[in-house]
Amino acid sequence: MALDVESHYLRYGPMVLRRCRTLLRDPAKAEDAMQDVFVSLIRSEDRLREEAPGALLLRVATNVCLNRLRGDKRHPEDAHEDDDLAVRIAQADDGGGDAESRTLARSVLGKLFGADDPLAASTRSLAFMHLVDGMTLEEVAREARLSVSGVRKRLRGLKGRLAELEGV
Amino acid sequence: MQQDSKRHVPDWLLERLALGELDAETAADVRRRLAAEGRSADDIAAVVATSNREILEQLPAAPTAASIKRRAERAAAAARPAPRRAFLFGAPLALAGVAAVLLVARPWQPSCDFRGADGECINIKGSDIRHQTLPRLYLYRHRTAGDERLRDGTRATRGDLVQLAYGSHGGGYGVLLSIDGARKVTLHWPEKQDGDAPALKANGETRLPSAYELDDAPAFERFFLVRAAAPFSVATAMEAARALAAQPAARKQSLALPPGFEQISLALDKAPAGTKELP
Repeated sequence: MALDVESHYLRYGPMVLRRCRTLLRDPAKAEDAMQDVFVSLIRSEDRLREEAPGALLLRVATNVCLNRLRGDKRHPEDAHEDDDLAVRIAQADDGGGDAESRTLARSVLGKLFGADDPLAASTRSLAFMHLVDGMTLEEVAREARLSVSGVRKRLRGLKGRLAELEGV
Repeated sequence: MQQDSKRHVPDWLLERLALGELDAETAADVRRRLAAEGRSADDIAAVVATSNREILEQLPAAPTAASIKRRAERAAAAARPAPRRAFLFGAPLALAGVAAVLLVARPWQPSCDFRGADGECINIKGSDIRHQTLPRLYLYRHRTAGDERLRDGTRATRGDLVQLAYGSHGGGYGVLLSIDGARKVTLHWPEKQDGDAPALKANGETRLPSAYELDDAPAFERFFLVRAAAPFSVATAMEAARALAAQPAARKQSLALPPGFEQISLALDKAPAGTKELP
């Protein structure tokens, strides 16, 4: 059965656009990414039968936007904008978490967006949810439909990768 | 259960709360944390509703949904393999693999028994009168179940035992030799290079005394029967063969022979070592 795009957009479109605006900080890019999120939904419609659309769309939006950010990094004309990217994204978490986690978030995200595909897109999303959105491991696991130990393991791999990148 | 009550409730969870998609336990926990912050679920719902209204005014549902559908159709079209382009550029290696399998599983049916001096296709059963007087070259592959007649373009492998035979209704003198993908020239008949070409038996088909085992030379083994009405030196044919073997187009070009010579050829295409033909 074909996805009713209009009704899904009416219910979830604004939420997806807000998510994209938060990550991309550019209204035009966010709108474009939002449409791509729904295109992804159309192409993987079966997943809607397995979980609530809200969580799925938020995860897809995170993946799409993080991929956009990585793609933008490759364009020299965006270099200045991207230099501030990790800080701006980390600042979105200013109100919560401790100083250590915010520092880690800045560092991790800077490495994530700067390195050549060091991690799977889904792991980047998990990292973003935990380090920037400020979700606990349990919340990340629940929203990503993973086990807590699975999320912890993947984020441990992320930290290992970060240590490797920093030559620790 | 929340591990850190000092954390702000993530926007992610607030969005999910506003949608009413959180499970009861998580929703209750979020409400409790909001209360600790001095906020309520109703406050969040009102903020979200206002934002939704503004966004939908900027980006109305009908045209935005139509734009998304168009984008999805373009993405689907781009993801669909275009047969012609895929054939030419998309998966040459995959197609090469498929072609190899097909060739091995069902050997190509060549259209020629052998080829004349200009590459002309010659079939023994052809009705063209010109072909009736031409010399003929036959190749057979020894099989346990009996010899297999090979035609131009048949695939063969290292170790195949190939029996050569000729036919020359007009008699004359002849040499049988071959060139291969390693640019090597092999004299099959007569045995010695330093002499004249022997007389051809004027009958339908004459087999050479021994078979020839294909070596590991790559690409092809191309056999020639060189014939003339008058005696000639074997060296004449061998020199022409060496000259051709050195050419990139040795698989298809003809021997450069003096006037009065006839030539016919039959090439076997070499299959990679270890490749076995299926029945």
